[in-house]
Amino acid sequence: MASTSNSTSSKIITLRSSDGEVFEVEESVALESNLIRRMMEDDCANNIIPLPNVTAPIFYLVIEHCKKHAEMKDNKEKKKELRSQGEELLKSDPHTYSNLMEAVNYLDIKSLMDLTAQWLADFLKGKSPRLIRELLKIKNDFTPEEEAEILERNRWAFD
Amino acid sequence: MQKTKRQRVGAAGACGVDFISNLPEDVMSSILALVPLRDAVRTSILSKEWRYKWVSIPDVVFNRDRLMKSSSSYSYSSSSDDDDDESVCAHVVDQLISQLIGPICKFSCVFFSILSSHHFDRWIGLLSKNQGNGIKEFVFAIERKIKWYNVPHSVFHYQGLCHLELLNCTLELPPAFKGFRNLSVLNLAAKISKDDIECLISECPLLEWMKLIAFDYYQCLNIHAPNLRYLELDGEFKDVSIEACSLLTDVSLLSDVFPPWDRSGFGPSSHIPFIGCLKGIKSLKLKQFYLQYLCVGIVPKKLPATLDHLQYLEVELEFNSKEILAILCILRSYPNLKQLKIKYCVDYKGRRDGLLREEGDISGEQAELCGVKTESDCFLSHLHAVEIIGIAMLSDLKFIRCILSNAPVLETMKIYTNRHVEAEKVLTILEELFRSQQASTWAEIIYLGHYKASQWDHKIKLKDPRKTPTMIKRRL
Repeated sequence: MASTSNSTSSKIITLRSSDGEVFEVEESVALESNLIRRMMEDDCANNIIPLPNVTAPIFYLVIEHCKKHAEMKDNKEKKKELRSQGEELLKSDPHTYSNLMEAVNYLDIKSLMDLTAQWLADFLKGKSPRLIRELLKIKNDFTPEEEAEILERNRWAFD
Repeated sequence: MQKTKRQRVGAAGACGVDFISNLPEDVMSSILALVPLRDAVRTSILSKEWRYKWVSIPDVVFNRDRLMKSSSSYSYSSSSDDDDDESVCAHVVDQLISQLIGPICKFSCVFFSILSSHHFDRWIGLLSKNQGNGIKEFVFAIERKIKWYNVPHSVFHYQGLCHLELLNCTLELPPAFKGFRNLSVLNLAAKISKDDIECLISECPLLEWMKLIAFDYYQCLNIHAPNLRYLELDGEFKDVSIEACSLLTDVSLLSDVFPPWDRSGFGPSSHIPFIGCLKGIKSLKLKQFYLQYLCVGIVPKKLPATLDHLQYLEVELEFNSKEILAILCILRSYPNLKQLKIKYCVDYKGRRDGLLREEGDISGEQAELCGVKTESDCFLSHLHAVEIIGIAMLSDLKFIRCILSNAPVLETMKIYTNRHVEAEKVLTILEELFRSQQASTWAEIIYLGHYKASQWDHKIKLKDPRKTPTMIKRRL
């Protein structure tokens, strides 16, 4: 999946997802992950690197976004576009979002961490608690008394 | 293929499972730090799982926009009920600070112009008591016009600080100040004594980036910062000296007043020796009236030392002949200069009215000063890009010609005219300019219209096609 770019000399790293799928990724892309970087520095990367916490579809998404992120470096339009994609993903598929977020956190990819964190932050901005609950399937488990107490504690934020 | 997968997991999401609430704690608090505080606080009502998520946000940024509205449409001077606003704001921040459990890495409080300083004192007091050494970044700014804030001593005991910004404050170091061992960024716009500022700088051994707007007049400012890479100074200094800054590469000097000629007791001294000792710098910017500080006394032909590393020079000048001498002096001392940007400060209306009138021939002596008679010794042998902003009259061309005839590898020269110059005059200037002799055979002169400084910075906006000839290019 990796070698679509024109660099012929770039080293290929082989990774295996938790569900057994094997990925070949250009070194430059793989090194975006500090986890993989550390593993390679510790020299346990001569063979296939196992990623026991990441499934194939999620890993595919991670790679895709790493590449997008690299492409958009100096492109404000694309940056904006990528930032706005979070809203849609969180609305339609919060499960994939949380998997992606956890994978990115586990793989320790700074650029994608910033992006996915921004997605949820943007999503939470300006929405009413009721709407957030509904979209993210969060169950309100407060009693009316508890709820009243919380509202009272920070009344300014709920006016 | 991917789409089907998304739909599959999407179906799982639709059956009502909450996947977001259990994201790792540290991830969640960094996410909530990106949200306006108001929205962050509102997440406490979502569910028991969310009740206390927001209280551990690491970055606390108070400004009225972020605090009071999630949209940014709140205007600073909107209403007559500022008094109400003050107590509401103060109360809200009080509540917030008392609930935050930390650790707080960044505390930023910017432009609460409506608040009185005792509120700030109280918050900083609370912060110091509860968070103390954990704070890495502390930013505090108020609006200059209104009042100066006396920064409490406790701030100077934050041992973990890496980044400190105090804007429009009065500072006084506590007697027991032990320095900031980890500080790398310092941005001050402050009233602070010479001794205190020098002590503060030298007690930050890792300082790399410093911007200082000094509101006090300093006889001589001594900067001792062995790791400094970026320096921006703005103020009125009789003299500046800098020692042990071998890593310094980027210097920007600005003064919005002329050298203080008339201060009783001491006249100004030239800053030529100061510029001359900036040995390793790659980029130098001399803004507003700073060039005047190099024109005090006799301007030498060259600086005391040759500065090999400088690649970028930016100067603003008012067009007095001595300034040209000062620029020539600098140019001769920077043999490897690649980029040069010159800005004529004719944008301040009224101030330089004389400039906009075309004057006749300049006299012999002045002509020499303008660079006309400088021998063509190709001293700009590496210069490949020049940008000249705000040309207003034909005599400006004399200096430009001097550059053209001394830069054998010049590739582009971009020209902007002053916005008060009429179209007809622009044509005359350009005609004259294109007739110039140049040392480089492939230099391209590009005219980009009137220069328009934006309100906030000095970045270039593109041409204004209505009043002036459109872009003219000439390749020789």
